[in-house]
Amino acid sequence: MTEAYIYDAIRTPRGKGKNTGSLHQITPIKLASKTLKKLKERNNLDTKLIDDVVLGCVHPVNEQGSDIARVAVLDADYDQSVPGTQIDRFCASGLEACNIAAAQVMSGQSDLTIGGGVESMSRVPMGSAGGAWMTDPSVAFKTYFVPQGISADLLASKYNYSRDDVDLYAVNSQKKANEAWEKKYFKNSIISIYDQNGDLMLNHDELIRKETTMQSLASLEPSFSKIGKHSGLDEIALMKYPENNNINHVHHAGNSSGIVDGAAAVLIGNKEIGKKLNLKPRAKIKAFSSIGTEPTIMLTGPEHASEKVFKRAKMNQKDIDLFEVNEAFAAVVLRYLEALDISEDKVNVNGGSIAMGHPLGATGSMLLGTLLDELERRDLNTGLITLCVGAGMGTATIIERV
Amino acid sequence: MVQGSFELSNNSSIEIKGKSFDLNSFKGLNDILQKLTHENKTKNISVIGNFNTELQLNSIFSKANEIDEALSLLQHITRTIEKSSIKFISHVNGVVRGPALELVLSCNYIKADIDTFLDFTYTSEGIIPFFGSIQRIIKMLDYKKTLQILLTNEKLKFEEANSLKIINNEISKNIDKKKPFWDQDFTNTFIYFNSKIHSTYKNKKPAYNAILSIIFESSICEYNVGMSIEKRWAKWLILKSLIKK
Repeated sequence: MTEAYIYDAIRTPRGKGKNTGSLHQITPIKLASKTLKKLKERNNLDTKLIDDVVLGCVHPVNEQGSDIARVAVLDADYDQSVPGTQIDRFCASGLEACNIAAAQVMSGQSDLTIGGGVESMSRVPMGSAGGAWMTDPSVAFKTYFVPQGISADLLASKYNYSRDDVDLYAVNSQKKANEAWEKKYFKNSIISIYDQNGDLMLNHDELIRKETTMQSLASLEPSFSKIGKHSGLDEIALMKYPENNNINHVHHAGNSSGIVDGAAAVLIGNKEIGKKLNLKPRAKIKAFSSIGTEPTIMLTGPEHASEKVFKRAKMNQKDIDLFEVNEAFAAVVLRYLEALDISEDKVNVNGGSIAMGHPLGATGSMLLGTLLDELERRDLNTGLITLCVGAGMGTATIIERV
Repeated sequence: MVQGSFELSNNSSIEIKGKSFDLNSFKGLNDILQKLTHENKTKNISVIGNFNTELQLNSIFSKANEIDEALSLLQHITRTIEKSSIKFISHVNGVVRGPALELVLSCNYIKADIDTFLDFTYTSEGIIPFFGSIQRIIKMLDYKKTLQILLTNEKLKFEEANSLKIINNEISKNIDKKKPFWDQDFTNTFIYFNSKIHSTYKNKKPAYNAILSIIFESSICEYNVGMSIEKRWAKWLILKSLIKK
């Protein structure tokens, strides 16, 4: 099998995903095309050589609809021969896009590809794409559908994570992200976003709250308590998990991933194309996998996807130097640490989505770039990226520096 | 050309005098508005005088590094009028165009004589309103009508303006209301106007491009965000004309 190498990884800063956010005034197509343009510029790419652009996007409707990847290619002034495709693996879309881009190279069907993602949550809000799982009673009843927030609280209840446990995790995420920014750990990957006049719109992740403390988080009301109790959602979760006596609602805006806008792109190719273009490989994509798990608790996919990818790569967690586990909710990471018996100092060492936000379709590819930067900074070798995914899925990818 | 100015009479009316307005004219208007809003004594202000006006673009936007400041001042003026607890009532007749039209559109009420027509000269003059009028219009009307008015250089006569409730009506109340967007009609409308403008003007008249983009990008946005988007495109257009010179 051909090896797939990562030659570069870049991302936009994450702007607050509301109408006061710094990236709200830019359309998602521009977020994506600016990222592609930058990737072309800094690698001096002859875009005719790119075989495909795969972008994750979770709400591919309205401004994000109609194959945003191909339109971004055209808007970025890539050669017209470059195709583009948009994919949706919910929250892991950005990582899955990189996996698919790598798979094209590994299978020998492509030489050079781009994986990445985009999501403007301020302009195309969560839920815009609709879907049968949430709304069609014939499916929702059968699968014991509950929204992700209820699943996160169910997860915390099942594994006895208290409000203090999840809040402490969130405080640390904020601290680590703030420190990483202060020490410029993200500088290699971040691209500043400018408007049509060349005026700066955003050059940093604007969601981070460095002043976050246990006390400040304690004042926040649980986000899913009312909806859980009054809409019968707690009852549905407990029907599926009768061994739990109740749902302890511990998650709130401060210990869940933030709603943000952003995009990312990762340049992937085989060895020969790297030589031809004089590009230095930074890492190779060693293995990846996705998996489906029980959809009501929904968020335990990362541990199972990791086990699956370890098996495929003939590795185990001890072989991994650093992990990026998407902080969809604090309990997701706590459960991952516990299930795989991993030390916290190897996981999300520069904070995560609780502090910096989770631009749904882009996050996976952002995490890949963050992990690669950190492996290089620490001169470590192997890393794993994993995300929990809607409807009970999980995706994991192992990368290895070369 | 008679230099334009704004004059406050008896704390009850602002009179628009002259025809051609430069930045100093608007600084003067801003001073009047600040005085009125800080004193907080006046309940109603009438806007009267000459409404057939124009901007001295060259004097306002002569230097690239001063564009932001000038644009901010102009939008600040109309936002002050909109946010004020004072009710601004414009009494218009005849041709209403240029900066006077921008001010009129930011008033709470527009009382119009039957001979009134609103002249949206943006595309014919190659400029877009810097005061946030596109946002006001799109929040008052739907995007289709807005595009039709702004891109076709349409003169809106009393009867039509009245039927659209732009005049003789309270207009600022629903200014933040979002219009429906991204239905099939939205898509079809933009395909139509994009192709029409592209085939007719290509890149010859960037004002068309700016107006289309403003309406497209701000259709889903709140009013304040839309104002900011409008400002970015206004700056883009001005920079383009400065480079051309």
